[in-house]
Amino acid sequence: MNIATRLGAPAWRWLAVIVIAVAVGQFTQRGLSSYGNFVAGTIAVAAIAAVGLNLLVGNAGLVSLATPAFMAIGAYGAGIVLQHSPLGITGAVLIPIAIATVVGGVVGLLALRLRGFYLGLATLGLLEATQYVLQQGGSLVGSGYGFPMPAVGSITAAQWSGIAASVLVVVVAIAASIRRSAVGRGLALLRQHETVAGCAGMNVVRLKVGVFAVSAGLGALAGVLYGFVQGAVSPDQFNLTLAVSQLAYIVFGGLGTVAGAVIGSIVLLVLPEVFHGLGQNEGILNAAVLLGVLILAPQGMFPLVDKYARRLFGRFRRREPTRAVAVTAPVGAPTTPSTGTPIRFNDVTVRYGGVVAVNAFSATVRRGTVHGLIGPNGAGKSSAVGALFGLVRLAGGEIEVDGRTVQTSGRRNPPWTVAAAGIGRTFQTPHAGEGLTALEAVQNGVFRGVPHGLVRAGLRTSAVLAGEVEARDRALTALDLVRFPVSAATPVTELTLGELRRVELARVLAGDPDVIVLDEPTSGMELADADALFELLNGLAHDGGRSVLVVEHNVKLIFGYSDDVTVMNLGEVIASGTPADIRADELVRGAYLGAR
Amino acid sequence: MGTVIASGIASGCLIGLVAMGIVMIFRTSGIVNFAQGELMTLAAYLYLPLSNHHINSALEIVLVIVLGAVAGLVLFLITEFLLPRADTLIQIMATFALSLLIVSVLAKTEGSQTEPVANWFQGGTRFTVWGVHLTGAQVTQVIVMLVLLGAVSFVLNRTELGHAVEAVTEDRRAASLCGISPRATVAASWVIGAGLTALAGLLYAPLSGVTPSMGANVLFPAFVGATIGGFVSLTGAALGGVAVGVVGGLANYFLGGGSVSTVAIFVVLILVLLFKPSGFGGRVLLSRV
Repeated sequence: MNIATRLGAPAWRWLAVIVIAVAVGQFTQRGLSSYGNFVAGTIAVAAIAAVGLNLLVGNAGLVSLATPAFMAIGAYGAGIVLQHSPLGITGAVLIPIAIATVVGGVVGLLALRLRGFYLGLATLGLLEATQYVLQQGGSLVGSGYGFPMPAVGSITAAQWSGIAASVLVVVVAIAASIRRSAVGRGLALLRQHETVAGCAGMNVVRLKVGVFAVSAGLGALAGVLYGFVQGAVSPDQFNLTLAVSQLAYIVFGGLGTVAGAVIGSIVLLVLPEVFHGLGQNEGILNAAVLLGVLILAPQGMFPLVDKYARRLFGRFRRREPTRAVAVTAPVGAPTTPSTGTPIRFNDVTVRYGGVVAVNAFSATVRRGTVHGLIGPNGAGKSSAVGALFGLVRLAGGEIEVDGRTVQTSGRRNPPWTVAAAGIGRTFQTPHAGEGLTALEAVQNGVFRGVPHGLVRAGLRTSAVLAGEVEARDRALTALDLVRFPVSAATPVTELTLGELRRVELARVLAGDPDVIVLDEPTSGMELADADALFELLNGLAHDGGRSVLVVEHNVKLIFGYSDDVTVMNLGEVIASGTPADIRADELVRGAYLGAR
Repeated sequence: MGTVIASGIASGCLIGLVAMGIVMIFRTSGIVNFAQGELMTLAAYLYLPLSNHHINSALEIVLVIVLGAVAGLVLFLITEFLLPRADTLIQIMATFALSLLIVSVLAKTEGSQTEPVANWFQGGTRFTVWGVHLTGAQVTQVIVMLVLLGAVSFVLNRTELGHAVEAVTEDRRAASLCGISPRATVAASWVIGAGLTALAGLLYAPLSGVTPSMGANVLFPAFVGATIGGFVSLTGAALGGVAVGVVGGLANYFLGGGSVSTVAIFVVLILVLLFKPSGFGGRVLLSRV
């Protein structure tokens, strides 16, 4: 047994990270001139905050201008704890980070209602409030002028720069681990479409609040180090300019990439040093460089460098993923088959304002069958499915999944709690999660089944690694099952609509649900593909014992492959029964099939 | 108290003008323009030499607005032809970079000190109505804002250009299929939006003096005003701006000076966003999954 196995892969990895961190720290402290050391410390601090912000903006798609507020909590907090309490350096580091994490989580609650520009504007409110406290907060914050940071033991400014550089290495390792984990892939889907992420079983509230809290914690950590590296804190260090500079670092380096946040911080902070002799031209050049990069390489520097490096060195090309061991979970049949009624709609009514979209809708999906739900446009099919997943509130009735009531008119349960009942769905428009490969997108279906906490992901524990292997194996099996025609390593942005639909179905199957709901799965698909898809659904139901509810416009497919059919028109059921019954039904022929 | 509210309304009208400009540009182009404040600053700097060699107010006002509109056209060309239309954040960063560029060029060529501006057209008279103290400048601000709101609303509701703006706002490609040139319409919105903002700069300059960073002081209040107004309606933006002016004035009066007015504005913003996310006067845009 070699040492790597005995220590376990995570421990081995962290040992390497710590060795690199110490080496980088020692070099920063001893290998640079005193000015170079100061600049390096400043860059390291900025990069730590930028890596945290990138997690939020680049990965989760949540825009924030509040970074300086969290940095101020760190810097001022550390100084205040050292001056006014006996807790020493431990308290000075931990207390501000804890406070910022909690504040960040609370701000994250805002992100449940707001997005994009509006969220940015609202977070600016936190920054303004922080500025106000720093300026008017009395003697505790230095009466509006700040204060020199108290000395900690005999740690010199040069040593603080070294410490900051070491911490940066560790933070980069943590952020890279998060990016490559279940939660990192989940954030990519959340960024592209919140509803899809929720229906895939991700607790959107926890994810958003969590990523805001972690990002704020990293901001505060950067702030603590900032205070010590600079030697003093004052309100004007934590203003809007810093917030925008932080955004500029990550946009310049490449949104959502860990290396990008570091590269952006380094380049944009070294530039002013290069331009230093140019006096007032400095600001002009900085602005011009930022604008130039946005125009010439809007995806940022790192993805550009990455692309050309891969082209130059063929051996860094993406490898075809393979299974680690024999398939752990057979995706064909559910691992834990249950016995309750798969889906029961009971007198379900959905209203949009005054419009009744679904009126007293009742239907039952039987176990091990394919149930077709058809009807003209506006019949209320998608609204009924939306109500099942808690996307709209029931005005009346209730919905059961696997014998358990998941939605009632009194209480709307969020999609991820419904998904936890063992049900998965696809959408009319497929969303796979921008920036992911097909494999990663399908792995998102296993989100609930593997460790997906931010902290564990950041530490990349052995449980997380085991989860990675399981997720990959199940995803590859699911891709085989839907007969995915191209490499699993293909980025989803390069897939056709038909391939994206397969990825989405594979994501559902990878989650191993008892019940599968598909909303117009064949629209935009070739006929042969559509037939193959329905063959697959049939197999899943009749051989695998799963239950399938499929909303579809193609009547021929529904009649050919369903066991039961429900027909809706204007929000109501106008017929239900076997395909043969429906075919003979006069009402259906009149309302839907167009026969007289 | 009445005086506080009245001066809040007056400064709110300036904020409202800038907010109208922001909304005007956003509707057709989809760009949240962080360089809007600098469109105001540029106008103020253009007016500076004119006010020093004063000849004819009307002529000077028209000249500054035309030049301000040209500046808007330049920003239109940059954003339309040089930037990718994909990511909101990248567009925001790009307009922010433009704003930084304008500020730093002005700081280099004009210096960063505050230049006083002679007040030729707003009138320095002070008078009192029902115990409320007013200045001529304040009355001018309110009148100008109301007249422009009426004029732009007329253009949007009653003219061919207004219909084109509506169509492009709804769907750029569909509009082009109806024989409307989206580019020309977006360009027109930039021109109108920049013109409105240039006028705000003209009104603001004599009150505060001219400095490269003056635009930044108005930008965020104007964003908040536009957001409260729903970000699509010009009347909403104007009233939102006025609301921001009044809230800021009252906060200053009751809670003391400094940045307390900014904090108060943002508290109002967050409350509005949480309880009425579409703002007042906004339209709810449905999306289908």
